[in-house]
Amino acid sequence: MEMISSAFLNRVLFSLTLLLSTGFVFAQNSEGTLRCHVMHANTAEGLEGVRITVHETNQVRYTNSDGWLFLKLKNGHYHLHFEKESFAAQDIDLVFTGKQEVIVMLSPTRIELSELIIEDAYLRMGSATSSKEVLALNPEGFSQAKNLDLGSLLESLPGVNMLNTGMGISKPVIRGFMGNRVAVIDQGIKQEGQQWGMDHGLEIDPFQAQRIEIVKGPSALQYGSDALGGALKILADPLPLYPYEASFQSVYQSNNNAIGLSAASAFKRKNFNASIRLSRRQYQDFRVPAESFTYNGFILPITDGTLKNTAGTINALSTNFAWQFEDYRARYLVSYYDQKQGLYPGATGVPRAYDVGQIGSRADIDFPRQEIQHFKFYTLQNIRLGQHWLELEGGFQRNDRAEMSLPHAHGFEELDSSSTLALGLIQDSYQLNGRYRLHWGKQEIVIGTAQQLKSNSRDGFEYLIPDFWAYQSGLFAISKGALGKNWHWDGGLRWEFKQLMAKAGTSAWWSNIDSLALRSPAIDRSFSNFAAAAGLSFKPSPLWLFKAHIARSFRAPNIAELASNGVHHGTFRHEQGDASLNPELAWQIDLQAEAQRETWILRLSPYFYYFENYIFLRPSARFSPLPEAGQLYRYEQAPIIQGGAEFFLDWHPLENLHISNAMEVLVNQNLDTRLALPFSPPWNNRLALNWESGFWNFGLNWQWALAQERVDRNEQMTPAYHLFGAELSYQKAWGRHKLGLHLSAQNLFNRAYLRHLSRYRILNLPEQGRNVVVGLSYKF
Amino acid sequence: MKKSALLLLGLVFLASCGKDDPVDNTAPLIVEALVNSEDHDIELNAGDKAFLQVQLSDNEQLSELKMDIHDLFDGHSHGKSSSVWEMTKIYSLSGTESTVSDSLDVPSPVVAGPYHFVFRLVDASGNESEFKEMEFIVKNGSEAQFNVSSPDFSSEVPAPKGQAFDMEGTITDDQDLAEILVRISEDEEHSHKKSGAPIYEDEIDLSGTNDTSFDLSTLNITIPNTAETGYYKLLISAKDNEGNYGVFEAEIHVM
Repeated sequence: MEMISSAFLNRVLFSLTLLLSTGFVFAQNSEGTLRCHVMHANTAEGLEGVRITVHETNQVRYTNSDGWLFLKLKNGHYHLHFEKESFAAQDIDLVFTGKQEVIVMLSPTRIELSELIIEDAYLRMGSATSSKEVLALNPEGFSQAKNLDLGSLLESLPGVNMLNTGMGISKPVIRGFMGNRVAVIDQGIKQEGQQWGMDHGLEIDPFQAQRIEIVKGPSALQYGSDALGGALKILADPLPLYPYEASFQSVYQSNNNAIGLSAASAFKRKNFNASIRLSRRQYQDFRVPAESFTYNGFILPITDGTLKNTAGTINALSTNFAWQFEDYRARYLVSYYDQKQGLYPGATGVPRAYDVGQIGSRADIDFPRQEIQHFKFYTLQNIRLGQHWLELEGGFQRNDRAEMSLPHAHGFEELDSSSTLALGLIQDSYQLNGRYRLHWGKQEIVIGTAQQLKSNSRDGFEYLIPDFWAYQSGLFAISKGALGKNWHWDGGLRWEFKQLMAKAGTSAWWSNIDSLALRSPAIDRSFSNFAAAAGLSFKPSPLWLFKAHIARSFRAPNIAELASNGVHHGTFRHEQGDASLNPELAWQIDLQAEAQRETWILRLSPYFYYFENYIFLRPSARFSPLPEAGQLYRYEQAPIIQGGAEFFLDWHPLENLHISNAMEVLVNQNLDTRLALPFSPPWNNRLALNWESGFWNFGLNWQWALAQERVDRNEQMTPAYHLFGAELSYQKAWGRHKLGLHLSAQNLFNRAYLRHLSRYRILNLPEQGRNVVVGLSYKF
Repeated sequence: MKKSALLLLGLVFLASCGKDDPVDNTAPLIVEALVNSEDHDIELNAGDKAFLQVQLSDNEQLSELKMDIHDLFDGHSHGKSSSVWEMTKIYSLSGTESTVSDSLDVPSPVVAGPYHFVFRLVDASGNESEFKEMEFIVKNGSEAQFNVSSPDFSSEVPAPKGQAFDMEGTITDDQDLAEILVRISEDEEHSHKKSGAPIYEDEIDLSGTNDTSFDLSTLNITIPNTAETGYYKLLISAKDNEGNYGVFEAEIHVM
């Protein structure tokens, strides 16, 4: 403490204050009017009703009948969006110096994707200039209501899949990567929820997800090392347009008698706005078009085609408060998510005919089951400093995950059968992030930091991972620029430090509960490495667009990979970590070629990834000493390669007809075992046809998944299948009211099929049979 | 676009060729498992010796056999749980053919009732076999005894659909009987290939404190009309207040 002299401190404080006050002096002095003129690219006519959004201040205004808008702005750097239905959206970066005119030409398009701005959050690069591929999903009330959970919504996007455990638990999979290789950002805060677990789903209310963006490929610079496979972003609700808004959604699904209800309301007054959403879903055991399944040479019953104990309930509450001033913006989010999810009993032990055959009540949620509570607090502060804005984020999350089952089933004879907490994991995580955009001459640079502290404590008669805490710190700088008229580049560097500490993990040994067996050694590891990325985009003409992106990413091993030592139910495997694992290092190349005209868009996205030391579970050829547990699997590292491509087509041959097709192929191999990686998504194709006429929309869709024969050791191949669906929706708007009715059928022909990316695949359980969905949404 | 596709193909090709020795993906096999030279209808008494003989095979190299012994008391809480027979044993193996012989001591005292062996096999490459499950009954002399006078199970017993299945006889126990479970399910043939849902199940709780006998004629078993014709297993399990289960199993012909 004596090392830092007070004189030095004073000098630092003085310089800081000087810097800030200069900024404020600047800000107070200059303000002016920005004249925006938006015209039709083909006719040069002024366009009325173009929505102009000033990104920094969140202002939304509309052009007048001549296509003009006069915006009062303070001097500074801004990013503007120009959007209008049936026109391709545009965005521009602007240095406003007091009196300026901006002319924007918008081209007509029938491609809905092009109507909205989809851009990288930090660099503010739209899809035309960014070197990465960003996909967007804007589920309107009715189409969102189609699906039970967030994961199912994502399957329609090329390169995106989900790994599901029955109905109600699903994880996003981007190009085969999941868990700690995909970052999920919920309205600004990185979702932390023991996502390393294969049967740990997303603890996010799907009704809350009004706008979703997916970044495919390495996104570690912006979102941290977890995003080396990609990132899923759920954007915050847009500002309410009216002083008071409310919406209501309800959905019913026939296959598992699922009822979903969600009510939301938003309030706006002067500089303040608030919103609240309350959702509830409850669903019963789901049904499959099969009366039996074959496992381990046995034919076991599926009584009434019902999978026992797959029912669940989800309750969610979310509120937002925001204040907006000229030089300051703040948003606060508080949310709570509660889920009880039944697990098929046959999946956590030897399935017994009399047990799985007696489905009992379809609605009750019996043992084994998961109980999850997720609490979130988040704030985003935007402070104007001179010409730029400083973004500060703070957040807290508590994820309380409990796996409940009967102790007797796991060999714990001496335990009272009322001790039903098999595995409890409570994780508290704190996040503090900051970002600042500055200009070095003409060069725009975003610098930022991300700090995270995580602590986890465990409970229950089973053991998987020890109590631990982890500290992660990231520092990054990213930038973008243009090389001539048609070339754009973006890139950056991120340095990350992670420290993981765990006390030696002990737990009672199954045959003697007064004993304490050492399950995981004490861990004190720290990792530091850097990630780098650079990309180019080339748009030689309005028709063509080419992108290339290369990245060096890394990922520190997570607690399960370092210290787990227990049976992971659902796989019957005993998983064991290795405290000496090194961080994964990946080299990734992503390419894109796109052709677009007014009525169609074609996009090809090939990629190639090489991991120097990918962390994976390897069968050890030894058995676990735990009762009724199978083989011991150890976390090891080996180089892997993966290559693939997605092909996407969106076509409006007629004004009323919309055809879209998404195809994905993927090939990977573990270079050590010379086998494919487990849960590799099979090659598949999704074709959708939609006919729109007035208030009505009718659609048909066909999904074709090829057989997956590239499997890991002890993983089963999965046969090919076709799935068909149909939908009919009615949407009427009058004034500010919007009513939507939706009727759809999934798995129209009630086909029994196996999903390769399913946790129940190991039991050869078919997926959900025909499901008829009826939804209603009303907004005003 | 063509170049990147070619590059992709080249890399995949590169990855798949250069195989010096093929990857061993073949699962090992538990050829046969016998306890006291039987593979079904196994009965063991407390204090007995159970002679285990398991025959194994693999295409390259065997690694380990694991044996689990666990009760099948339907997950209900039971009396003196400390004497339930629970055992886990791992045998090291080598070669492509191997036979594991072991002599297991059935503990005494031990809770009588239905148990199972589960055998799991893994080879040196980590390939897992299908596991093998064998049910058996443990007796200790103190469990419920069955004296069935009718029907005569030494020959085929018809069980017409839609009709009551009458039984006569008694279940006796030296302790107070607590629960009687009756279940009719599809017969597991010797190959243990089919396990169906029960077509009839009933659980009778005896609330008295000195029910040392139970009259089988008080059972109201009805064969459902919807059952498929075939051979079924009739199981009657009687649990006393010490936690011992007496088990009676017989075959009936539903027609």
